[in-house]
Amino acid sequence: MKDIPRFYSLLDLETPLFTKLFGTHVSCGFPSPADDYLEGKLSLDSLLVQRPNSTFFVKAEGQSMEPLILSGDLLIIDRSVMVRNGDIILGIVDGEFSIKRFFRDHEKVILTPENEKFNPIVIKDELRFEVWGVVIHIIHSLVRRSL
Amino acid sequence: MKKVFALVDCNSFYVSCERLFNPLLKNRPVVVLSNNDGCAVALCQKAKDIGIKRGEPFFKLQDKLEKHKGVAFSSNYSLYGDISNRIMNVLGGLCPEMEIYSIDEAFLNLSGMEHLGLDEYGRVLKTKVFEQIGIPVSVGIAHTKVLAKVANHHAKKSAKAQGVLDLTCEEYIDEALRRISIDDIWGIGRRSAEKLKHLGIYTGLDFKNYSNERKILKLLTKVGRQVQDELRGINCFDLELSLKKKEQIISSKSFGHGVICKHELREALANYISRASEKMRNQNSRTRTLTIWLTTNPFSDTPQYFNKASMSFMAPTGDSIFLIRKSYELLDRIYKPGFIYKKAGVSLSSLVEKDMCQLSFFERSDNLKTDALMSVLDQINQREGRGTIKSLACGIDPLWTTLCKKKSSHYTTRWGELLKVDLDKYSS
Repeated sequence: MKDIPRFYSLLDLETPLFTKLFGTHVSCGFPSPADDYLEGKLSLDSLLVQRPNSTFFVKAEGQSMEPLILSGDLLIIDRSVMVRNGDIILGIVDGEFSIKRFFRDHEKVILTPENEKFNPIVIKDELRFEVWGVVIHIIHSLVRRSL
Repeated sequence: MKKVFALVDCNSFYVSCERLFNPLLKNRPVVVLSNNDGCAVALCQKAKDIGIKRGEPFFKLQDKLEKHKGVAFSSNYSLYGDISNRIMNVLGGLCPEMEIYSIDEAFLNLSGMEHLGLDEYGRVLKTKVFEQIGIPVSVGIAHTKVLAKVANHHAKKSAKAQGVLDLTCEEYIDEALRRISIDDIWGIGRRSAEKLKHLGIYTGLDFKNYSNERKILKLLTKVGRQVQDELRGINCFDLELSLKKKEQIISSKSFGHGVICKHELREALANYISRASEKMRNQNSRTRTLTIWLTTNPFSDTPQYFNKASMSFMAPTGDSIFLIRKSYELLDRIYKPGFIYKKAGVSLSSLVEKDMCQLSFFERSDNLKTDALMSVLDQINQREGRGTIKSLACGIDPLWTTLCKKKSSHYTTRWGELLKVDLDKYSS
């Protein structure tokens, strides 16, 4: 595939920025020296969701990925990331979703759990399996009172 | 230089959205039902194969569906809307100009990009959307919008095209038009198609080659002639880049079950007005005419009644509360006890731009105050979810609301409804 141009709309660039004109009242006194150094607010979105179009959230349930992923963790998945060996992926095996560490080895794909009490899934028939997206972040809350 | 348009159209869009979060549906017939689970509004190929048609009532198709292990969903517009936005964003980044034609279709302007190879470019569009969002699309490319529609039609049907068809090459156009029925030409409605068939025009090619242009002009007016020209490669329709404001806003739904009481009808009207006026305020308009209507169920053998009533205001208004009060007056005029009502609706028309409203000499105006109130109301509802603040006239937990028993989750728009993945499946 040839390299194709990417187009930006001015509107895209305008909206997500946090704008703040002055940090202080405009008064007759000496202006705050900090005004020249104003920066945008930090947003978790800009850190964790860099490609909003292809990013999806899912909730994990079960023990097979312990201690990396605990039951109830929120996973951030990006469909546009190219999968590489060793990535944690959301895949589809025989029509069911599964989250495992991905390895491709010649003719077969091996999906391995983190928890030793569980068995890896070995797939030789390509038709049974499909990668849905790559897990790019795990959000693990320590206090579960509000979520 | 000739223009180049691409039409990108999602394949069975609603069904594809459902499948994205439910891969087990891949090889089963799937239908998506209209509001109130009335009839099929979208179906996948497998559902078409077992003889289900678009528009078929649910009770009629239910047996067929069950026999073939099919699944029916209530429509989940929050999900479809979110997925649609993502697709449009991706497409918008791949071309300089785009017209979003509907929730699942967009026209792209690819003029001047011929050097990249149009067929190849179409395939880039298709793969990018699938890789990033997981929805299959078809792409039709041609020198006019009508021909791009034709190209898309074949891109979907033909196995050879694999979802992308470039029809900018003169020599293929006639063959493509020969293979499309006049009913499937964009811009030709059912009645126009009937008229054309009387003239012996059955395919797109017949229409393109029909030389008596005055007859077409007489029969189908100017737009019909323009469609004919577009088939000949003469550009008549350009991309519509700015959103057109609606001239009339309607909110109308069937009730979950028959409604007899007047106060339930009042609640329903209050809800429809809230919804319609929110839409109206969003596009910065105000209304001068309010219309309401009621109808019984035409498919039942109970006594039938239909009526509507409307009133005009001297000064245009955007005030939901005022409109709700006025709708009660209209309801008093047309409500008749003893009937089982199935559907009611509200229309706001004679819309004017908010900033162009003239105050009336004889009516008292609270415009500034109510404008401020309504804008706070809309802001809160946008932030916290529809219906967070509403008029008490809308009722609390009303009985008459639409049924949507088979709705999938709001996977992409509500924290509480995210897709849950069972980590232990297959490996224990």
